[in-house]
Amino acid sequence: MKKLILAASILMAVYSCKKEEGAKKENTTEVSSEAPKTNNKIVTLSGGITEIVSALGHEKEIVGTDVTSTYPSTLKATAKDLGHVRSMTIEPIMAVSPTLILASEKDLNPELMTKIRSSGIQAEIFKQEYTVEGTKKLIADVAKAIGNTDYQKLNDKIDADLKQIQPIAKKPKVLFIYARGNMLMVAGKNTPMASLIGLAGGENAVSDFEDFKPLTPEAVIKANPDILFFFETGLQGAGGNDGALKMPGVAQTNAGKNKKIIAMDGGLVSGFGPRLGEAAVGLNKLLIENTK
Amino acid sequence: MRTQSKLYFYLTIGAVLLAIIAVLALNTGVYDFGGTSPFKVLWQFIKGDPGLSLSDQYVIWDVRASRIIMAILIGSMLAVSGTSLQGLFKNPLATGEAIGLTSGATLLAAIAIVLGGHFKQYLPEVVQFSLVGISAFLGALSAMMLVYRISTSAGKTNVVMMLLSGVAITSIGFSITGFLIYISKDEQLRDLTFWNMGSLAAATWTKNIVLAVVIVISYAILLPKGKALNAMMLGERDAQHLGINVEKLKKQIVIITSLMVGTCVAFSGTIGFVGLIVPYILRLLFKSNYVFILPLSAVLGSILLLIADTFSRSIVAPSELPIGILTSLIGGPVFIAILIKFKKSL
Amino acid sequence: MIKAHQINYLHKDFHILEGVDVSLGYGEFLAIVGPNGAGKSSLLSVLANEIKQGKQEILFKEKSISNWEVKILSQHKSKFSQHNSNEIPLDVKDVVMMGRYPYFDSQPHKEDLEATNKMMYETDIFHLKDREYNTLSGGEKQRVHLSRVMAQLENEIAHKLVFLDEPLNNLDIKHQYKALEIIKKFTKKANSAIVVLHDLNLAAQFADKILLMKSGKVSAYGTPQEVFTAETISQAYNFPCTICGHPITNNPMIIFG
Repeated sequence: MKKLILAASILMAVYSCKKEEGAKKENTTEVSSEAPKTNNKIVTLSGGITEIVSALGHEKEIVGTDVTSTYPSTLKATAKDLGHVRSMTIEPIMAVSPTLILASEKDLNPELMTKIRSSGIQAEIFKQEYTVEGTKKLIADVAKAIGNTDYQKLNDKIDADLKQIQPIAKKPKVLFIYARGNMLMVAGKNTPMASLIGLAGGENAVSDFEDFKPLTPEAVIKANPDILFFFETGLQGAGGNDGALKMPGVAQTNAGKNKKIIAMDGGLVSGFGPRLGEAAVGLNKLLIENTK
Repeated sequence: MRTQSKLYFYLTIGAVLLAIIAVLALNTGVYDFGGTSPFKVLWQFIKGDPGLSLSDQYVIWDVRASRIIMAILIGSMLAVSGTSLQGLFKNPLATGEAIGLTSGATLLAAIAIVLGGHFKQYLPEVVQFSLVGISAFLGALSAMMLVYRISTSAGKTNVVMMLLSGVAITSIGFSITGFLIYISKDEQLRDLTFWNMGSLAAATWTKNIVLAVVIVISYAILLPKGKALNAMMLGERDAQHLGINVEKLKKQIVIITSLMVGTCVAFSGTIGFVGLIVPYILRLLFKSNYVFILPLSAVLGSILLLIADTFSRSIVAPSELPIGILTSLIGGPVFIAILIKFKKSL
Repeated sequence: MIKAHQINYLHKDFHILEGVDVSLGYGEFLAIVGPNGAGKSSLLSVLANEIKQGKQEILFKEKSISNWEVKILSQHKSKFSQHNSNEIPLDVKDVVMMGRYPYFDSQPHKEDLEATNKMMYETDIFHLKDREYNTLSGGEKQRVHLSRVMAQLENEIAHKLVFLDEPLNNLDIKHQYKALEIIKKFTKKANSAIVVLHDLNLAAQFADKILLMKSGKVSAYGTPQEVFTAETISQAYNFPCTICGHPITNNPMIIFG
C-alpha cells in the first residue's frame, strides 16, 4: 500500500513539473509569433456572429469559435474550434483567454450560459431573429459589442443583394431536409430555412408544424414539395441525388418525380449574418432554375 | 480492538489516496494558469492573493475545484447507496439504477423542472435546486417502494422480480421523461444524454452545499448500520432475534438511499454502475462484512468517480466524454464477473 | 418463565394452531414433538414473538413479550431457526460473532470473543473458524448457527430462554448428542429451552417435559413418562408403536412399526 502512495506522489510531482515546463514553452513561442493588432481576444459561438465580426474587419481578433463557424475559412488557422455549444464546457473557452465572448441564445446549453455569465469575462448573448430586420439588428448589436460603429455597409450589402432577387411567378414549394447519418429532419415554420425560402421567393412546403421534426413519409407526401433543399454536406452524406430520391415518401412528391434537388453551403444558409442577401439570391437562382 | 483499528487504517489510506487523486484532478484541464501549477493557484486563491487574475480565480475555484468536490460527494453517495441496497435486498446486483430508482428520480426531476420553469425567477438558486432535489427524492422513493412491494414477501427477496420490476420502472421512466423532453422547448430539460449518461460539468458551489447537507444527514444515520446489515444476511427473523429493529432499519435504508440517489440524479443525471463496482471491489477484500464495506464504500466511491471524471475531461480534450460511458466501461465487466460468480453458486 | 394461553393462529380459515396452552418454568427443557404439519414450528414462532397472533398475550417473565425492548429481549432469549439456504459470504467466526451483536456497538469486547470461542469449541467447529461459511457442509453450518444462538446467551443474566427449531437436522449422531448435551447443560443452570424435535427417543432422553401436537392442537403434555404411552403416540402419529424401557437409562423407548 505504502509503495502505491509513494509511486502516486512521485507521479503527481513529475506531472506538475511537466505541466509547468510545457506552459513555459508555450509562453516563449507566443512572444515570437505575430502580435495581434489590438489586444481584443474574441470568442464567437455562432456561425452568424463569427461572420459579422469578420466582416467588420476584426477577424484576426477571433481566438475561438464554435463548430458551426465555418466562414471565413481562414479562421481555421487562427481560431480554435471549441466544439458544439450544446456540449461545450467553460474551461476550453477560458483557456484561450478571451476578453469578449459573443454567443447566440439558440441551442446554447443553459449551464454553459450560466458559467459564461459568472466567469467575469465580458459576454454578450444575443437573441437571433431569422429575418432581414433581425439580421440587421444583430449586426448592429454585435458591432456595438466590439466597439465598431462602421457597420452600415454590411446592412447596405444585404439590401443590395436582396434587390437582385427575381420574383417567381409560380411560387415553388420547397422542403428543407436536414440529413445527418440516419437522422432525417424537416424544417417547419419558424426555422431559419423557412425564412430564407420565403426571402428567396419560394414557399416552405411545411405549414402545419414548427421547428424541426423527424421526417415521416406521410408528412413528406402531404407537403408535396416541388423542390428538395439540402445542405451540401448533408446531401453528399446521404448519397447525392440518388440517395435523396430514395428517402421515404420522396418518390411520390413533385420534387421526387421531377428530380428537383438543390443544395447549398450549410454555413451560408443558416448563418443569417452579412451574407444573408447572398444566400437569398443564391437560393433564388436555384429555385428559378428548378421551376422552369 | 482489532476490527475498529483495521477499519480506521483502511479509511485513512483511502482518504490519502483520495487527496492525491484530487490534486491530480486539479492539475488536469485545458486551461493554462500561465506557468503556475494549479495546486499553487488554488492555494493562492484560498489565501486571498490579490495578484491572481479573475480568470484564474474563476477557473480554479468555480470550475475545477467545485467540480472535483461534486465528484467526491456524488461518487461517495452513489457507492454507499449501492452497498446499502445490496444489504437490504441481500443481493450484490441491487443498485439504484438496477431497481429503477434513478429512473424514478429522473422522471420527477424533469417534471419539477418543467413545472418550476414558470417560478424560476422568483426563487433563489438554493431553493430551486433543493426543490428539484426533493422531487427527485420523491421519485426515487416511489420507485423504491414499488419495487420492494413487488419483489419482497415475508422478508425474502425474489431477485428476479426485483431486477425485472427495475427494468419495467426504468422503461416507464425513460419513455415519459423522453416524451417530456421531446415536447418541451425548455432548454433547462437539456437532453436525454445528460439524464442518461450523466455529467458533472454543471457543478456549482450551491449544488455542492445541498449535496453536503444530504450527505451529512444520510451518513449519520446509515454508516453505523454495518452490523445491522450483516445480521440481515441471516434473514429478517433471525436479525430481529439478535436485537436489530428490522422494520426500522428497512425504512431507514429505503428513505435514505432514495434521498441520496435522488439528489445525485437531480444534479448530475444518471451515472451508472458506481453502486455496483465499488461494493464488488470491496467484497473481494473484505467479503460481505458491511462493518467494513459500508464506510469504505463512501471513500472508494469518491475515488472512482473522481478518476472517471478526470478521464472524461482529458481523453478527448477540449471536448468531454459523458461520464456514464466511462463508468459503464468498468461496470459492464464487473457485472459479468458477478454473474459468473453467481452461476458458480447455482 | 414463559406463559401462553389459548393461542390461535389462523391462516385464512385454516387453524394452524388452535387453543394451545404453554407454560414453562425455570430450568425446564421442553420438547415439542408431533407429526409433520402439526404446527410445531408455528408454535415456536409464535412463542418467540416472530408471528404476531390474535389477541392472546405471550407472557415472558411475567411481562407481555411485546412490551419488551427488542435489544434487551435479545439478551434474554435467542432462537435457532430451521435454516435457510441463505448464502452468507463471511467467515465462520464472523457468523458466530453475530450472536454477540446485542452486546457491543462497533467492536467486540473480550467477553464476546471468549463467549464465541467457548461455543465454537463446544459445538466442535473451532477448527473451522477461519473458513468461509459458504464452503461448509450442511451439518457444519447447522453447528455454526447453534454456536451463534448459544453464544448470544452467554451472560450474567439469570433465567434465559432458548428456542430451537429442529437443531439436529443434518447432524451426525455424535453431534446430535453433543448439541442436546449443550442444551441440557444450559437448562441445568436455571435456564429454559423449548426445542422442536423429530426424534422421540432423544426427546425422551433429554427433555423434562414433552408437548405432543397434532393438527394444531395439543395432544398431550407432561413428562416423558406421562406422554410417551403406546396409545398416545400411535394415535398422534397414526402409526403403530411399542414402548419399552431403555435398558440403561430407563427412559421410555419408542419403537415404531
